[in-house]
Amino acid sequence: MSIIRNIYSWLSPMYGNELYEYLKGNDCDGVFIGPDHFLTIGLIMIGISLLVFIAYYYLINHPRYNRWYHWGTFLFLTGIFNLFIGFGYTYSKLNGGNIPACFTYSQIEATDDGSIFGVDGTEILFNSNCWQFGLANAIIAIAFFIIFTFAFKWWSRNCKHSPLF
Amino acid sequence: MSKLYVFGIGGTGARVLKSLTMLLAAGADCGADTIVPVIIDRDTSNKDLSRTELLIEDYIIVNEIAKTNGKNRFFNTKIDLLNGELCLKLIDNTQKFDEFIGRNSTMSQENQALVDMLFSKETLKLDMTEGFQGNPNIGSVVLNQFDDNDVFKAFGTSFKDGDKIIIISSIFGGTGASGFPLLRKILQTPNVKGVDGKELDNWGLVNKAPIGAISVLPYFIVGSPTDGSLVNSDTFIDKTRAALSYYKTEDKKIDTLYYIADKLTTIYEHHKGGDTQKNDAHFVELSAALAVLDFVNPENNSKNFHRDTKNNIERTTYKEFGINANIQKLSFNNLTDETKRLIVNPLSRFLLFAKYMGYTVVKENNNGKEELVVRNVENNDIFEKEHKFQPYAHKRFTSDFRKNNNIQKLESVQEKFFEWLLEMDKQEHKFSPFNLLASSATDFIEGDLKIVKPDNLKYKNWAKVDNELNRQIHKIDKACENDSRFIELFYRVTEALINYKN
Amino acid sequence: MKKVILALFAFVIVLFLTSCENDRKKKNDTNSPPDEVEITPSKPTVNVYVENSVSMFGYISSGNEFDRSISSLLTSIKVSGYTDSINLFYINSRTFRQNVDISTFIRRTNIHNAQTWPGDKSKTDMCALFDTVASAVNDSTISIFVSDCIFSPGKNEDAGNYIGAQKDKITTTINKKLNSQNLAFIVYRLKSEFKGDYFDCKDDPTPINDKRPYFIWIIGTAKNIGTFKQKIPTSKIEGNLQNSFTISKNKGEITYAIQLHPKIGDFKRTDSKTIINAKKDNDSEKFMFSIAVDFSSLLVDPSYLIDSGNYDPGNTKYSLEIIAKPMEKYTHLIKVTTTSRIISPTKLTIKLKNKIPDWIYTYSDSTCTNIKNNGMMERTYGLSHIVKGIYKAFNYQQETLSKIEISINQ
Repeated sequence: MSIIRNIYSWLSPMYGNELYEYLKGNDCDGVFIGPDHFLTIGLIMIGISLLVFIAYYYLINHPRYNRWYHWGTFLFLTGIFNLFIGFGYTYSKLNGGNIPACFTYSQIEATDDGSIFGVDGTEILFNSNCWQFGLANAIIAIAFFIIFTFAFKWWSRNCKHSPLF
Repeated sequence: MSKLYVFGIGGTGARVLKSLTMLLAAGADCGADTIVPVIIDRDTSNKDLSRTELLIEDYIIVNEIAKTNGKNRFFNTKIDLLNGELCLKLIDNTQKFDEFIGRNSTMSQENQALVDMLFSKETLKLDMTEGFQGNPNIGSVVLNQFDDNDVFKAFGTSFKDGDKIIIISSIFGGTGASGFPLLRKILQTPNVKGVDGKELDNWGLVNKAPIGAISVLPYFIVGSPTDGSLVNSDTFIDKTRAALSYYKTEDKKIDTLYYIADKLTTIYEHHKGGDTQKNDAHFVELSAALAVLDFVNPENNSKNFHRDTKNNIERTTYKEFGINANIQKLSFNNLTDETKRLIVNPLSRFLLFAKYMGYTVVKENNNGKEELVVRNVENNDIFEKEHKFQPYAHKRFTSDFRKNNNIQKLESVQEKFFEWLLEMDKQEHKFSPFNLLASSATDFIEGDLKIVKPDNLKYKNWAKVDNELNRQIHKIDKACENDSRFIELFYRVTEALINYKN
Repeated sequence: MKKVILALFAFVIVLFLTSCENDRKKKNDTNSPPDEVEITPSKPTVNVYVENSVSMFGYISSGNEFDRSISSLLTSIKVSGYTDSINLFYINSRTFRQNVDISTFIRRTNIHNAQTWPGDKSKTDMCALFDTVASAVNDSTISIFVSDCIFSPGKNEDAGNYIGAQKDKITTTINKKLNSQNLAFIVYRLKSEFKGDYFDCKDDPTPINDKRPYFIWIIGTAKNIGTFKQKIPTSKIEGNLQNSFTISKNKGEITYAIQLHPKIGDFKRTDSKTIINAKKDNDSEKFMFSIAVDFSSLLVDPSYLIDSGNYDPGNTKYSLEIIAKPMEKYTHLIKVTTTSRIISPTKLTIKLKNKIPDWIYTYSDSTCTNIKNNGMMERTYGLSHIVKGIYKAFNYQQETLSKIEISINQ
């Protein structure tokens, strides 16, 4: 799984290191406590890319849809699905209060009982980060779609030379 | 490796041979491995002859690539030419009939008088370079020089035991009517010698060979003469009757005699001969071609041949061709099951192939008149549009592929095939099994026979064809050359999509 | 063939990626400690010793801050539930138990009563006093010792030599006790109004009416002192608390972790102790990251912990700022800053030094200077010797109380 995590980490500048650490399953101290959200999101992403790939090359598999732009449409679809999944997942965590304050605020204080809270006005994770993560997820999904394409398209009756070679 | 020598006499013979070639191009079953056509005509500028000649030339080239060791049946039967020539030319330097018979040069006065009695003045002055113009009497005289011809000698040399002979001629008109019995006589005359005094090779085998004849009765009349022609279709029936009475003498001299006729007659433009004698194809010619296939079908041997122990013909089988309905516009529905089994699949498959390559019939405005013509239409050219994208063509059938001479010949035959179908469709007595204007891949067969595999939800029309092409390409022997693979592929695909059974 | 290999390759990738690594999580589960059996600890007894030698009279004659601080301390101790038993004593040449309650004791701690107290009030033998109060300490007893901590060598002694010798004696005395007990000492420095005679090292009185420092020592086992610090934080001690210092054999392990914020510039964590991809902030040209630390296991004074002078950053390119920030499992935040042009990979070892705080020296007098001299009112003759004496008794091998190791990688 570290490979999937690494892939998401390459794009972490897009959506923020704080969100990356949270999704990685780390606590505020950078120690892994789980769950590894990248595992969930990553598997869904790979699954969708694979499904869309199979749909284009083996289910639809149509001699009139074997132009590069048809493939491009499915590539785009893979990206769009995963954009919204990535966004939706992180949005629900962020707005559901699931993400600890140390990831969502740059300044945190403790209550009397020692639990932490974020200081208003110091928010660092916003919905825009969720969109950015969605975009990163889309990019990775697209990369997987391309890998699946060039590895597994060769048995498609009608589309094996789409988009290239 | 049995051969069938097909002697087509005159214009009718040429046209029947053309129909036969079309059937073979489409992959109709032929009981012989090789067809050796010979057209006997004095009128060598006859357009019908030249059309048949060009068609056969193309066919021979395509046949070379049709030997795929696979399933392919298109162009499957070989066509060989004797001495590389189709036409047995009757050579002489004389132009007019009286010159030919030497009335003024070699005949005595008594013989001249006899000749004057037998032939009219017009007949004697007939210019024979354009055929005998419906005069079998002079044709019979002139044609009596077969044995002196190189093609004829080559025929003898190539003839083998097991080969068969069939003679196609019209019973009306000029060249054919006179040629058939004469040719039959020569073929069965023993020890025929050439001009060098040597006996023609294998003549003994030729004498005893299975021999059939197809006599095409009148199926057209000609309009009023325009060019000093002596052809008069009013006399066609009389001449037919006269010839038929003579053919009684052919009984027990040929194994099978086919009479092909049609009640409904077509009117052709009146051309006495030359390159304007170009008659549209007719269903009768197709029927006559079917008779050829009937003759070589080994399943019909017991019906067609009745020989005694000395291999002499005991009796002649007389056959006619029939259809199911006496209507003006024929489709496959109106043919008998036996005929359907012979031609439905081959014609439909080959037509589908031609349509995929862009050939179709379009309406064109010609001098203010709307006509139907065969064209290669860019919009209908599925191959051109799709070969860049379809796996079956990838790195095999590229843009340059069509410039390959073999493929160009193939397309030439396809275009002629379309024209042939169009011509039969235009006749009074139409043969219209197809909607030639249709651009669809599935909806082009008239009638209600379930012939083409129906569209499914996913693959429709030409996409269905492409899907099948992409499926079939992998089943073809990779050792095949590209152009052979092309034909094999299209045969397999059209066979998968069109498989009529009754 | 090429296509088959490509296909297999991609298949392997996908298989590898989708193989779940649950081991780590399982490991975490199996590593959870067994349930601890809670044993309710018994509460220690608190013995309070208030020095009532003549040098102390100045505090109790005015009777405000001095009384208040002792009173508030003792009340806090009782109220916190730290102890159920407080024994009150006066101490000079020997101890005198007072079987009264706290308020009565405080009331009685006044100038009139003090003059009538028994024992030799004229001299203060600090070593003997410490010996007495330390000897009363055991696993279930702590001593609280209130004193001005002024040595009185007398007229015939050399002041410098005296306190030097006293220091060594304290060291020996305490060291002996340390062999059998893990003791810890807290010293609070407070101030109170002082109206009376100040006796210098020659026992010469000087009347003064000013604020003077006095000291409250808490002596007990390290465990009891640890609990004391938790239950009675310095905020509970009224009466002008100035400084504090705790001396103990610190065996506490500290926990720490790099935090994502506050920061200047940018970086990533690979784990709680490792930084990668450190980048400076373009505007300020600084790079700063924070480490949250739990110092609660150390018996070290809060003021000591937030003094960056008590730390060694381990790399001259880095500077430290420490703030007290109680946060879930941590007590302090260390901000580590560098302004160097390039942030090179390094292993940073931040050491919390083990030393006597500066205030001990600042508020100490070793030369018996005149009390009226500038700044002397703040000072206590011999203070540093007492503290050094006790400190030396602990015989520290290392000069580091604790260390924090952070890796800064590429």
